[in-house]
Amino acid sequence: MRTCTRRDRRLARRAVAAAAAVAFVAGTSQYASASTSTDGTEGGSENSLQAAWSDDWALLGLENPGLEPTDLGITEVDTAEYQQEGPYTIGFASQGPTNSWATIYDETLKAHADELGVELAYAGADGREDKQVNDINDLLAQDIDALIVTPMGPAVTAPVERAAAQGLPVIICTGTVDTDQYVARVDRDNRLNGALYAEWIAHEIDYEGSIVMLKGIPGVPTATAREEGAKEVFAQYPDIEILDEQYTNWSPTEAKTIMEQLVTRFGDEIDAVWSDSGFGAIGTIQVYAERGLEVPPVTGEPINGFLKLADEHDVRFAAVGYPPTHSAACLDAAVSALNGETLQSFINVEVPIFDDTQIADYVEPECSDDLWLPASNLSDELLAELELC
Amino acid sequence: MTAVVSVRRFDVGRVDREAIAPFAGLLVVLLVAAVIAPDFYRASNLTTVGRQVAILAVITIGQTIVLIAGAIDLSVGAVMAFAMVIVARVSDGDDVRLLAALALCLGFGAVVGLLNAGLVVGRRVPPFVATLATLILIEGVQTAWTRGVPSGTLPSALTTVGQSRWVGVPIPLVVAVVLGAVTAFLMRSTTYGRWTYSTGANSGAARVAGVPVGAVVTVSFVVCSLCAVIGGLLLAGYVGYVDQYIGQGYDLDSIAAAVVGGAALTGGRGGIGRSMVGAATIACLLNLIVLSGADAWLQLVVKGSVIVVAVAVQQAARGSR
Repeated sequence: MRTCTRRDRRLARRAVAAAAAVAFVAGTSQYASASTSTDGTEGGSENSLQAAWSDDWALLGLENPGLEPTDLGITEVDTAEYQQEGPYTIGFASQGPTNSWATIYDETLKAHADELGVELAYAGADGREDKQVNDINDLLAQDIDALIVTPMGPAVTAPVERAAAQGLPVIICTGTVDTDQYVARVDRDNRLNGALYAEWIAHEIDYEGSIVMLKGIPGVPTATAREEGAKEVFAQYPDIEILDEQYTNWSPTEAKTIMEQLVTRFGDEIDAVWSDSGFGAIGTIQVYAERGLEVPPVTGEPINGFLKLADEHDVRFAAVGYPPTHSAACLDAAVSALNGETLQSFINVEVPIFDDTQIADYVEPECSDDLWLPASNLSDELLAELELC
Repeated sequence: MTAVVSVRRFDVGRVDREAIAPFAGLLVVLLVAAVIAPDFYRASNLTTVGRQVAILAVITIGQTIVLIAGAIDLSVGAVMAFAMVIVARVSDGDDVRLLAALALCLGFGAVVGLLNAGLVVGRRVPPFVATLATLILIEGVQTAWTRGVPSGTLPSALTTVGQSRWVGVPIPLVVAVVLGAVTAFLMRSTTYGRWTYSTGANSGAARVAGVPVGAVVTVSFVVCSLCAVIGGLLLAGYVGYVDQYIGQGYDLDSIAAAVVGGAALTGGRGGIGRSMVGAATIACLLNLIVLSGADAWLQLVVKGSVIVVAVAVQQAARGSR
């Protein structure tokens, strides 16, 4: 009986999702253009964060269950003091190519710099905070006009402040720093991502049942913000019980091992799996499929390996992207600052948000498992060069 | 003299407290499991644990041989990851090309072992530093080759090996037991084994006694790297996904497992069987923590505590002989 009503609700929801999909297609193209435009449209009357909080729920056929948008104290930043004539040389202190996400992130920004005629001074930190401190110092010793930083940890606060003191506009690109000495931060509100996953799961199990949570890395802001958003949502539904929560360290290996143990411990008590990453979703599907069990609804970032498995096993899922290609928007913000345009202090990037009904629009059966989707805004040359497609 | 003593200590059939301690430790873990988490003994969980034990045990076998020879190998995790990258990239999901990929992996393992041995034996670099340098070098080459993007797919033949069972036993466990039996025989009943123990106990004395110390250490490193390749491939088959960080943590876990099994970081002591029991103890314990519903952060605390307790027990056992 319960399954039946759930299915009915689901069909009704799909109609809503279909309508939302139309809006989403428009959103995609807007997203693609936003990352290549330099007209500073981010500085409209309603900021991009408010827009996401009011619009993103509908993309999964949901409504905001009453959460307040994240208060990031967004202000309008006047960048007249940084205005200067081009061509520009911009420093980019990045994470470095430690995984496919980071590689595509770097390559996208480099390609966009070529398009804009910006000269890039690049330093990759190998994912290490201590190396990045030196990297930024090295970049500051060069003749750069602006600095883009993808912070690896709190230690980079000091060099970021030093850059600001030298009169450089600093753009924080994905991540956070413990200072306000920057012009703008370009990122995705991860609390919203976690809340979207949680509300989708609540809706999927009819607001009652037992779930498990697969979190990322302890203490990493992206992971804590996703967890925070999810728990605020689950706290509103007393009939939803969190059976257990574990860290996967965003490793496919650890995620699968953890999930094996959770399935052994709770068996069919698990009605859904809240995972903050595609790796957690992959492990979940593998474990249930290998045991010949029906895979419960699961969430995660759209990595091709996840979507291929979901397609193969007909899994109900919700995916909220965290596309590496938003690095282009960071370069746009830096250029806007050098053009003297007004910027918002936080620029929320638009991301693809979809569920299993739209899988065909995203999955790339011929491409590598490690490809972050959608890949439509990556050039064929880059995909071939990285042997991803 | 020392060399002679250590050879006799490990003669076949000799049973002492030091040898019993690791088994007692595992027994305690298994009993605790029966009390606090009966789910541990469910068939599906035993399969999971069996695979986890097997992969750690395969790595630990190699590490133990290197430890007995008086060295240490920090590069096993990097070797595991690189082996997976090679298989995924070279075979790209094609079972036919898997054989070529496997040959390439084993060749790679042998080269890494020779490189480690070359630094340690030829250049007299301390093993800790030499293998740390190799670890960084392998990671660097991997990043340069893949540009951080490990492309390709794992062949289904490999995932079948990683995920299937034979007469109810996970295939990785069968591999681990066979490998353990072969290497235990090598270490206990051949001249090479005796040479390895005497080299680790006192390389100077061993050299005087005519043991080809350099060759012994070289063989140990090569065997260790080959074990890492095999372990990496089994783990890759189990995970079924190209994870370039797949071997992370196995370098230290394998050392911990060997120490829990009674191997000494100072060389000359330890045994394959006991190290495998050490690996089983650690893997069972970590599984038990999750099953019992303890907090995630407790895992590292328990792991650390077990190593400390194991070393203390081993010391006490040695002291009271």
